[in-house]
Amino acid sequence: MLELEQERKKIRENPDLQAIYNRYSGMLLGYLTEIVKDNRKAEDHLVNIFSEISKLPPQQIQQLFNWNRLRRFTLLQLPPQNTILSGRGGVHAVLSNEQQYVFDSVYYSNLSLAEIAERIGQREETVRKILKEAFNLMKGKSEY
Amino acid sequence: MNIKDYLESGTLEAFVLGSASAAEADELQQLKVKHPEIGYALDAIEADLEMIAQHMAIMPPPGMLERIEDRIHELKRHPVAERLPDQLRDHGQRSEKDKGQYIEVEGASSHMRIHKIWRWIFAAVFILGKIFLGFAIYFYLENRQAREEVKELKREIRQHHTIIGQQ
Repeated sequence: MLELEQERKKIRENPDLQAIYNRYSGMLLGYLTEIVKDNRKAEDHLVNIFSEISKLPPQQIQQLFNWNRLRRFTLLQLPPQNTILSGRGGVHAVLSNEQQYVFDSVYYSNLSLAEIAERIGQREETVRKILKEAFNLMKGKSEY
Repeated sequence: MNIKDYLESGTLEAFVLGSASAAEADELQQLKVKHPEIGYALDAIEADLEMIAQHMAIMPPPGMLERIEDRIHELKRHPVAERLPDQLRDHGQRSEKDKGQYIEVEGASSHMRIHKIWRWIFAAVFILGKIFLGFAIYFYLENRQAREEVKELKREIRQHHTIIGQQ
């Protein structure tokens, strides 16, 4: 028991891991919940992801103190996701179905623009524009 | 190339989100050197992404940090290679003496993890235990009272027989 407490203390004293947890654990849990649609599974993934981060060399842990890098690291730890339109609320509510599909395919499923273009029968250039519009709308909504 | 159009094309967002093609990424890296505003725009997109994520954040439940720490502690105590049985570490090639033997599954840790549903099962078993104990006490007392009544009745019958005999 004493050994476990000492180990915990060590982790709490790892400032980089602790800083990532303090700043991003809520965002990461929200992100994972949107992906797996199950709070308990999302929490399990959160535990797995932090244990994977703890295995990295200190320099790489420091680099993950950035939401986008952490998000992309997270996607690499998860099995491939299918984009499912499920009427997400919050900042998603401002998007049309097409905008939501494109944004979700990129943000949650890590699909390339070429793959999305093929799926929705549009040109890549159009998909890029839809992504930009979706991003601007969500950004505008999240600024309030 | 008109940089303003390029900034509005959505290529930067696709690059930051990781969905741009290799050719687009190469082009962007080259343009970034010549046009510092592209670098600023990329930083701004990353900041916006974080802001969007903050809006969708969910506060982790209490004890989450401890769960993570316990998992890390487990990994440190039992690295993957050590946790694998010898048969698996040798790429599945079993020696003759190992054939037909059981794999050792008992962990060194004195703790065990169980599914949270067991909390409700244990609670139900505890409550049922209490109910059965209540019934057992009730029927024991009932039974004892019935026996005393039978004894009393037998005594009365004997007394009646004695009185009738005397008459």
